[in-house]
Amino acid sequence: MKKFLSQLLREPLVHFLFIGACLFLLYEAVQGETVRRKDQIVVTSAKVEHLTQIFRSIWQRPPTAPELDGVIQDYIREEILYREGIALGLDKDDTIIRRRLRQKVEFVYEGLASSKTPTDAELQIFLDKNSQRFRIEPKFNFSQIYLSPEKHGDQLTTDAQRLLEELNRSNRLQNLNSYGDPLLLPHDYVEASPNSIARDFGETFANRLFQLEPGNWQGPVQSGYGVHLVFIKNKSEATIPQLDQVRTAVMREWSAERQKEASKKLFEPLLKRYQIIIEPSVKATRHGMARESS
Amino acid sequence: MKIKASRIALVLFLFGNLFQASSISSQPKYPTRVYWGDTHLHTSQSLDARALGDTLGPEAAFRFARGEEVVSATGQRAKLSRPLDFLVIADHSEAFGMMDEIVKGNPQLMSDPTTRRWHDMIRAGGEESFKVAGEIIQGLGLGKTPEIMKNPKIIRNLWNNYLAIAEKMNDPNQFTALLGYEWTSNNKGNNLHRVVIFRDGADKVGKFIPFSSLDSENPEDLWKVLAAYEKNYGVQVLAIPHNGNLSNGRMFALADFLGNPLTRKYAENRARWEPIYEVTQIKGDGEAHKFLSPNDEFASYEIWDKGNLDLSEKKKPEMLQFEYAREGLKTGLKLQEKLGTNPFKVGMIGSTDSHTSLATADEDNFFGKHSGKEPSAHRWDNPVLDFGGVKILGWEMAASGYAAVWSTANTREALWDAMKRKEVYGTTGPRMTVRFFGGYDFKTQESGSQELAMIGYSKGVPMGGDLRKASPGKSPTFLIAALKDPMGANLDRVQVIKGWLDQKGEVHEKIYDVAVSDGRPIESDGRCKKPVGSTVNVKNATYTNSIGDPELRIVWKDPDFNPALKAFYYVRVIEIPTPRWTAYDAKRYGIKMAADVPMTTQERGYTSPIWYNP
Repeated sequence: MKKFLSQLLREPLVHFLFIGACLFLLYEAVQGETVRRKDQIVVTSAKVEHLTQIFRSIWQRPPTAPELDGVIQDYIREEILYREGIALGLDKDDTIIRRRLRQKVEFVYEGLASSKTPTDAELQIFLDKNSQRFRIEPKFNFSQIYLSPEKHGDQLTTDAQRLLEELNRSNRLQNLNSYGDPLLLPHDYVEASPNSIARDFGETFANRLFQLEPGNWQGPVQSGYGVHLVFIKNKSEATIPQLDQVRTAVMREWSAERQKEASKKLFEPLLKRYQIIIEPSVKATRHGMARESS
Repeated sequence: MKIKASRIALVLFLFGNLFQASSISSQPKYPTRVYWGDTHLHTSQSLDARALGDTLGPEAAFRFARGEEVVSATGQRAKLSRPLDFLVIADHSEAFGMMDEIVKGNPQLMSDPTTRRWHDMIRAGGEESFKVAGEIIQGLGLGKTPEIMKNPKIIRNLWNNYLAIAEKMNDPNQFTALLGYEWTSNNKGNNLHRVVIFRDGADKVGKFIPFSSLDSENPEDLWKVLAAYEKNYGVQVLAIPHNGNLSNGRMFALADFLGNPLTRKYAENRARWEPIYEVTQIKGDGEAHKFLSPNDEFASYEIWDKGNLDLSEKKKPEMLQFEYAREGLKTGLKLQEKLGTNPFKVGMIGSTDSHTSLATADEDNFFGKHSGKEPSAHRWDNPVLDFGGVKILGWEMAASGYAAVWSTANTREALWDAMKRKEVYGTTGPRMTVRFFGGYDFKTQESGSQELAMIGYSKGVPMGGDLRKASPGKSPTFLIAALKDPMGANLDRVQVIKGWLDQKGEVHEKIYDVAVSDGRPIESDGRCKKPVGSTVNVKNATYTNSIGDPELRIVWKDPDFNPALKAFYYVRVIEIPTPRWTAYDAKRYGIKMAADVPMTTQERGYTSPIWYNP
């Protein structure tokens, strides 16, 4: 018997029923008007207090006795008409009520999903699963010298080759201003990510850097402006960050994902509980629905 | 007092530079990099955007600007060619966020017959929702917005919701989400809109709700509120007007909102709160109009000059002088003479004013003015604005523009400070790098220096600054450099546009071609008469960079300088011809557009001016 009881206490369904019963009682206590009989409306003192509060929040003062009476009478009227409306089935084909209910259900489910604060373990799992999204980009330390196609014309390749040899012979890395042609971009880049390099030189240039070996001048490398000679001093590989380094971003993406999942999770199991029959329609083709709005 | 303090700070900062220049410093004292963004984007929180079908909220807008792929309101996959550095979601403050609530059927809003009717019309979609947008815009102008939509409690919730999302998406030094909104003064359909931008975060900006044109349509009332924000909540804030072209003569007018002549106080307030102007955007470019600048062959670029915003009043030629930025800058000199302060001393930026949550300004990746104008085979000949039969057609949209900010860091504070000091420029979309310094001692060979910025800051003032009075015999020199968008077209030419006030009180303008591509000659009148040519293949929507130059640099000295006269100088950079967005659409959808639809464009950038105030 004892064993049965303790088993029973561990049963989720029992928890569910128990919580349900508690919620029902709590709802009764707070909401105040017990539906004892279908034709009875009890305006409890808690309800009166609630109505008073609403009045106060609108008018910034307590209601006078006649005003309070008016509010109560209005509440009674609303309650009666609400019940009559439901009894007549007027809620059934009202689009506003339908949408409002849909919104409320979505809100409850999605709110449940997003209000939760994730634990570190949950964030870590999310980070591991999506490591590419949070990875710290590789970083390049490099220098570049620009050669303008306009200034060198046909000699561009020859000039670039000659300069490349000269730079490598002298192992030149300082005072680069006297080499090549001026460009509104720096000679030296420190800790530059492929994204920021692409931003300055275009994507082709940034991609080429991955193929270059560090330690001497190389090129020419094509950019949106012309050609460049490039010296890669060193580069760091892409790394997967520790959670603490990217906590804010992981948190943001985690809750965005959860919200997306929640609306999916809400709907999919519900959909399974229904049999859906779409009758063929004569007029409405899928094409017809995609009519452009101007 | 404040101005003095900042002058001193500037001097210290420049002084400091001279000594720091040789040592490599990881924390630059002057801006070494330009940041790109959109200061004017609408999402589903804007009444009209939502009514026109934009279902994307601020989070999607931020993600898109940061370079992520999103699905647009019409179900198309959308991604920028490269991320932006910052974004201001500037949704209309009038009934902020309410339309989305109306669509969802918020019961409080369904109690009003008008909002209830709109709910049904938007649900019906298509033409019906387009009508709602029209009603709303006109309703704002006529003071007919339903009371329930002004409910401050509902707005406070929606406003705080937006602020929370912006806080979440703001990553200092990576991507900046500046907080802001649009105040949409639209009296009788005349556009006096302003985008309001804060330097601060939600902890302060969340203490109040945005000021709306339903409270007042008078810009002077907006400035009062901005002053109150600063005083009561310790925030710093500025406002950016836009679309003078749709104001029917009111943006740079000689009279205030009530029709009274401008006063010194008006001038001081406007100069204080409105340091920059949004000179180019989808609803037309507002730099210069051919009627005002007949000698400028590049004027009237992507022009919208049929009427005011709701097309309720047709344009008359005499309105134009109070609508375009160049003319406004000239009028400012006149008013400074008269009032002691220049009310129109504005720097220039571009932005999109998109109502799609998508900040697009590239010709080959343009998502249009609003969700009904997202890419499709029909958007070019459907109206983008339609009021009582007066229409502006889809093809008239300009795929423009972006704001470029010379900031020391990608943070709210640094970006805002750069806007405040006008160290900004606008482009019609391309991300070209433009440097512009004014001083008295720039040497010709310094234009070729790799240390151009260092020289510029140490010997002069950057764009947005003021030249000090010239010593006898000296003329101002300008150090100018423009670098093409690394993923875009070459440059045709760099121009300096000068405006000045003569001894008789008349204003003038002159255009100088100061650096041109392909070794073309600049004649003695300062102009290059030989066009750069075109490589555009309209049918295939392609071009090549076989003409034009990737970079143009020059030290230019004003040949016509008179030290006694007030003047301003700004730079205009012109790209070589490229396919316009209409050409990309025609190619993509295999359609033929009407003969009067332009298929090529010459995109451009406009810097903030440098002023000379003797």
